[in-house]
Amino acid sequence: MHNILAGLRSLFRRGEESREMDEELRDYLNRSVEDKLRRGRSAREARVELASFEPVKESMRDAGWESTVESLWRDLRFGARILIRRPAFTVVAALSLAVGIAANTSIFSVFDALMLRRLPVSHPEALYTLQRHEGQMTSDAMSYRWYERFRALNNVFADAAAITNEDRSNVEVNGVRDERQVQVGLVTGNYFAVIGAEAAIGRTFTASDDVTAGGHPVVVLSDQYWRKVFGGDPSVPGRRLRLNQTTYTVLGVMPRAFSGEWVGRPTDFWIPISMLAQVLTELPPDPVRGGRMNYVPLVRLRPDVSGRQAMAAVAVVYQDIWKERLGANPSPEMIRQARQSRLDLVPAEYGFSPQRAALSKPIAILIVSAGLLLLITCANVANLLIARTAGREREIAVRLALGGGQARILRQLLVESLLLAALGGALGMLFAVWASGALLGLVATGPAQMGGGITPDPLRLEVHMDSRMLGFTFALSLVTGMTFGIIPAFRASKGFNQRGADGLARRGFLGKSLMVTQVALSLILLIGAALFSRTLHNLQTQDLGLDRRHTLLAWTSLRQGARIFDRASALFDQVPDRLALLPGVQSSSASVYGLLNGSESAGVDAAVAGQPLTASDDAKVLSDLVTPRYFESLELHMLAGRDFDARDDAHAPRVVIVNEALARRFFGRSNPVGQRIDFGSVASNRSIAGGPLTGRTFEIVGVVADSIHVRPRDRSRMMIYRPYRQDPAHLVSMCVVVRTVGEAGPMIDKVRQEVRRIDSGLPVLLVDTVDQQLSDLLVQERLIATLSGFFGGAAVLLACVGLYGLVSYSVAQRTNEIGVRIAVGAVRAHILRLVLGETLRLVGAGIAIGVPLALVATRAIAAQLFGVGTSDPVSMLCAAALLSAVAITAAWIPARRAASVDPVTALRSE
Amino acid sequence: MGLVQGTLDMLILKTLALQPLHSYGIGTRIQQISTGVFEVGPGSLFPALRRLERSGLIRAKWKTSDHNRRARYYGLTDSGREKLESETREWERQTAAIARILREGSHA
Repeated sequence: MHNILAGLRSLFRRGEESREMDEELRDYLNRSVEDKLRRGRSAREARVELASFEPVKESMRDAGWESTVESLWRDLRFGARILIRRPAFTVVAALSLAVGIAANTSIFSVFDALMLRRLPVSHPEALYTLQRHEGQMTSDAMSYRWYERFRALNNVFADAAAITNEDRSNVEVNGVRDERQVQVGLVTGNYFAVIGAEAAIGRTFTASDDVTAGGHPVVVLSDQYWRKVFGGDPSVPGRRLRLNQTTYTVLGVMPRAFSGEWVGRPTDFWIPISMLAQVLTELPPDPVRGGRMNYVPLVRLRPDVSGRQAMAAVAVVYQDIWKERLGANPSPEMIRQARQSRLDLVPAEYGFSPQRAALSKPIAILIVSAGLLLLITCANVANLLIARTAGREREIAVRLALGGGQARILRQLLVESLLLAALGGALGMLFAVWASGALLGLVATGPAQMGGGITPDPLRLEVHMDSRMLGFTFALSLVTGMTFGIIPAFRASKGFNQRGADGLARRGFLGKSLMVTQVALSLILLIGAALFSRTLHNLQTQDLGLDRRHTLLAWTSLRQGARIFDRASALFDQVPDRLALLPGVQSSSASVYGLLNGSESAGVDAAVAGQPLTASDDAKVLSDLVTPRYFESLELHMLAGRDFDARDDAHAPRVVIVNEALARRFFGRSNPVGQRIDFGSVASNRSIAGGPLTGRTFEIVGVVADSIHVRPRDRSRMMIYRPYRQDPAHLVSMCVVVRTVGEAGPMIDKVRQEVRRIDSGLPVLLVDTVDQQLSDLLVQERLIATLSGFFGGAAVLLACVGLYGLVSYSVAQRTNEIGVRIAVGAVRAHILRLVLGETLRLVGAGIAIGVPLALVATRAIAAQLFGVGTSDPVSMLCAAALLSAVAITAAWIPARRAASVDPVTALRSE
Repeated sequence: MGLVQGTLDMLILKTLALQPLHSYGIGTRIQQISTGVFEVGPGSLFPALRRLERSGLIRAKWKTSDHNRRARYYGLTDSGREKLESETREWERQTAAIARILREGSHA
């Protein structure tokens, strides 16, 4: 305490203290001199020992902690002066640091928003969800009946809510229909209490608002929906919102931060689950009690209960459920399935996100690349610093001679580095705010399959500058500053003691090895960028088996209320025919799932003549319901048999058309037409076109060519097509294929308008060309290709700066030598070759080290590549050639300078 | 002869236990008492004084003294006195122990 006060006092009374110190030292000196004279020494001799007070004063100052603060401040000011005095160096270094830091910060911000944020609710750590693993299927959802049984576990759960999220696009506010899709959260009345969120305006609904089926037309809005649709009206409670035939009263608005439990897919409003039948009018009666498996439970543990205890309780209930399911006489298949099933209690404090798993690998790749870029930046700035501290040799030598300790000089140089890093960090922060917006834009586009229809699926996340982003940037800048600063500072603070040829040679070696490291790391980034961009190109230009330029896909959802759903069959008849009549349209037809919708559908098992082909996922068969002439519209060739026609209706024998892949797998060379095939799925609880096909037999009437069907990466999945009239209950969505005479793009609006004319209540989710559809599915690939391209470019630029700096520096160091060479008759071209050759040797060493490293690194991304090997020689050659070309360009200017050295001046300057 | 780190602090405290002294006085006194074994230069004396002052063991005052000369006189504070006593005890305990060890060693 005493120490702190005294320290502060002396910090503020700096001048006075210094005077006192001087006076005391002078007094000491005088007495010492008097003493020595008294003992008979000469005055001159007596004074010698105390020639300088300065080191004494310095060490006196150092005795107190405040001196550290003070000298740090001095170091900071000195550092700032040095940086200002060399604006070119400072700008180049700070900018390159800014790029490195911004890359990391912006990727961190997206990573943080998607993965690391806890739900903005009270005590999110007590929230859990239940995850079923049954065979190969994993699901968060279960039936309402099961949910009720888990909810009854009130010895471990404080309470449990059930959620079912649905897309709707028939909401009316003030008599105006909202064309956009809205995400409706149908939740039990206790949802807000369970999740721990309160309304910002008005109130949320509670358990008492969710008692009688159909009796609670109330709605709670999200902040975003409130702003967008109700214009942020603060007196919104009491206003109305219409969905299907029901009018709902607004109860309140949630806080801005709260958008439900789905991260990246915010809920627009919440309605009590007792209104399910009114919201999802297309479902059969009593949807809540019925067998629907779409309820996601969200449970809150009692505060005194551990996850393990709750898990045990949950397992018991799950076993009971299975026992009832199996009944008295279970089949061996059911028993096998029961054995493979379990229920896990999964923490939900970070919410759910379907995109999390999908994006974790790309984000990991980007984090590593950004880290590499930052390392390159560090090597680069370290190199610039070495060249620069070498220029300050004299200053540092003087300071050492004047009694400045090595530690002090080390600190001074480190402070300068940190200052530079802080500057880079501040700039980087500005870049990052912009870059994370752009990055989200790249992640955000792209469709996803939802409940049978396609929806443009933006990853809706909010990224803004906040304390987390600031903290990350600050920490990163600090680490960066230490990383690039420590080696040059350490060298400078001691290296200059051992001057001479040895020191110079070592300095050169250090700079060169940093450069080689930089080249090697840059090469890895460049090779990665080349591989990813080739992957994107391959995926985008691959042969789809379709005509991509003359085909439009119009996606509609038929699950938008009973009025539309009841007409599904009629719409399947009507819409393609009407669109086919549009001028410029050659033909048109429809299917339920369409193609290139990116969904991960489970597929069904198939068997021929009782010989099943099950097990692995890729042996599952995908199915779709189509109108006649579907293949004609897609230009898929019929290889055998016939197309569907008007005869294939509900009363006719059940028929299928299979694709080539299936035909090959099941029938080999023999002709499948006329053969019978069984489809069935015991394990799958998902709704697939045609539903659970257990034990149903079909006659194959045709074989059609393969195409890229669902996702751009799966080439020949086995497919079956069925006539839509034979399964009207599963017409949940409709993808209309429109084949145009000319380019498809300009027809988009016409198609959209025509669908609206046919039925204004039919929501058109998306109309796009096959090309665009494909491109939308390649969001991840494009994200990685774009960013890794950017990182590669930045790395090349940095290598350019680094090489320029290094070569300039070494040319400056060797001016004399070069002067002598020229004086004794070296040709200037020879000097040019000498300097460039040295540069190329450095780059060559970097490449020699980088290639094996890249070969190892690319193995980790093998799964991300398509149509290109991890050791693709073209990518490697291009990367190496680009780096070498850039290196020669960077070295050219200083090399020319070296070649034009005037021997007279060079020798005179010695 | 060099001093063990911390020993100088103790010697200064001991010197000041008798009477307040100025810096030069402290240096010469230590030299005298140790009959010239310890020579304390300004380079170590001043930082030590500063350190002691900062931790509140000694206190300095400007005084006008002999021959009308202003000098900074250092004196012990109460905590300085306590520190000296405890340090002295500790020192004696340690030196006795070391002496014993050295004696034992020589018999072996």
